[in-house]
Amino acid sequence: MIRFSEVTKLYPGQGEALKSLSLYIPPEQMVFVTGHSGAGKSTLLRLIALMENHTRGQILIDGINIQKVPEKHRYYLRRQIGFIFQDHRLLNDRTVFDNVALPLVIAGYDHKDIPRRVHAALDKVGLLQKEKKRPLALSSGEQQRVGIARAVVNRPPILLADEPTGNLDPKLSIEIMRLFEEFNSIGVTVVIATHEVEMAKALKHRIIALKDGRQINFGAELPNE
Amino acid sequence: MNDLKKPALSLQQKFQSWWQTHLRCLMASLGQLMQSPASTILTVAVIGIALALPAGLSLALNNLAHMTGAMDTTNTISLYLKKELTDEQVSQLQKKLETNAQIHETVFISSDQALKEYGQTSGQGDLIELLGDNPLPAVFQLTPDKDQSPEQLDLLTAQLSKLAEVDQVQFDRQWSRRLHSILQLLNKFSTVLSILLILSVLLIIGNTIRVGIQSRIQEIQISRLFGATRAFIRRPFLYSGLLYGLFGGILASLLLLISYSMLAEPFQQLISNYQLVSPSQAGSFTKYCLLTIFGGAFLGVISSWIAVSLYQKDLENSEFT
Ligand SMILES: Nc1ncnc2c1ncn2[C@@H]1O[C@H](COP(=O)(O)OP(=O)(O)O)[C@@H](O)[C@H]1O
Ligand SMILES: [Mg+2]
Repeated sequence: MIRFSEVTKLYPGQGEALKSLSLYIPPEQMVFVTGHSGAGKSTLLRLIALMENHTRGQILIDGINIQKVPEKHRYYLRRQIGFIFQDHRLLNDRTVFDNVALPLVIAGYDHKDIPRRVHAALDKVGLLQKEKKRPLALSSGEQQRVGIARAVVNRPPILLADEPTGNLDPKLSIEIMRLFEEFNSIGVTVVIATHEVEMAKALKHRIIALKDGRQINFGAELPNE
Repeated sequence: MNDLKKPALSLQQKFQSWWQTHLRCLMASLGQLMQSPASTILTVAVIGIALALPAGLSLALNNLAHMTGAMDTTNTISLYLKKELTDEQVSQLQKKLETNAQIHETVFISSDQALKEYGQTSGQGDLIELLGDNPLPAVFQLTPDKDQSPEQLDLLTAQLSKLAEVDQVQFDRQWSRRLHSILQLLNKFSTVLSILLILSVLLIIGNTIRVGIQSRIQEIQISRLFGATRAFIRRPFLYSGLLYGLFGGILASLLLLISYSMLAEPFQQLISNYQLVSPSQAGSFTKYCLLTIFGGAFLGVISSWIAVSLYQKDLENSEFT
């Protein structure tokens, strides 16, 4: 469950990226956040992922007011979230296996359990054969899927994806969206930021449309709270 | 807060995974250092030298202090007697001295005895025999009472020199006192130098770690995003710092060992020539090496802790990029 109450994010010198935004995403929902470049989509995801602090308002994740959680304890909330970057953000000096294993190592999983879980995640994205490769030896689509495997390996209840199909051809894009739907079907909350409004519409999930840091009516019905 | 997605672990399993984590981290840090051997060796060399200097200096000063300490306990006042004294006069003087509360022990060395001893220690007995006439005066060697303050001893010396039977009073204390004050000065100098060098070790390791952090910023940020604790992010750098300090300490100990073995022989010579008390080298040398190694490791951990903490504050206050 994600709730924003009149959330404002001010970048000093850049103005407000989000302007008194209120929204509610119930558990196990799949939503698209759409809008033109600069609308505030990435900012929205980054606030949920605790990558940065909002300026005003209140953000609740699983009922927890994140502003009240000191940095020291935020790691726990961050482990509930898988994040997929448009530019992948893989560690290029490590193998695919090690990249995907990172969240498990961080969470302190027993080292005996790690290979099994990593293989399951790589299998899910169809990259089992490439586990020993380095990210730069892979295509952009493959790198994106490594990023997805890394985000889901820890089975987080919330998955955030920032332009996950931005660099990919339409066929691959649909494949990746199907993957997200699969995760969503087993109870994962999925929030996808994309400027490709048409694709979002075609997939018939809820759409949160942003413009200049505010939500605009996109005709998508609001869920019952 | 409990991690629900983690299966409950027994205490033994927990310890095992803790141990595993740290061992892996240590190995990873070691691997990282070996990835750039040249700069690692250079850094370790600088740390080693910076640690060897204060360690060597304080080892040397400690030994000197030990030696002069030993001299203090053998403090004697030598009363050189006038030549023309009769035996009667000498024994009267001896009684006087023995009843003096400030004097612990009185030993009489007649001029014949003095000559014999001189012949033995100098190996020039024959030569002296040739001289015929004994040039050495009779001596009373007095050991003052231990509790005497330097002022009291000065007073005692002054009184003794006024005695009619006495030609000259020689008090070794003055020499040792001068040595003492020189040593004190050297000690202060060494303390200041040690503090400066230890600070420089802190800075060297801290800066090396800072550079290491900068080259791994992306990894740190990704780890943090996926829920790494502060300790998790700090850990590999603490191990790097530990290793730098440890290796630096080991190198410093080697340098101490080399310089000691080079100095040992002339030092022994010095000791036997001047009849000084040999310091208890073996024990304190090992102690100093261990102290240097563990001190180095400790400094390494402290400085990397500071470097990482400063960076983490920055990281947590800045935007994710
Ligand atoms: N790190 C940042 N520092 C300063 N301004 C930023 C930063 N990130 C985003 N912004 C500004 O915030 C606004 C929203 O950006 P963003 O959330 O990235 O939009 P979108 O992802 O919808 O393209 C933009 O005007 C952008 O310039
Ligand atoms: Mg964006």
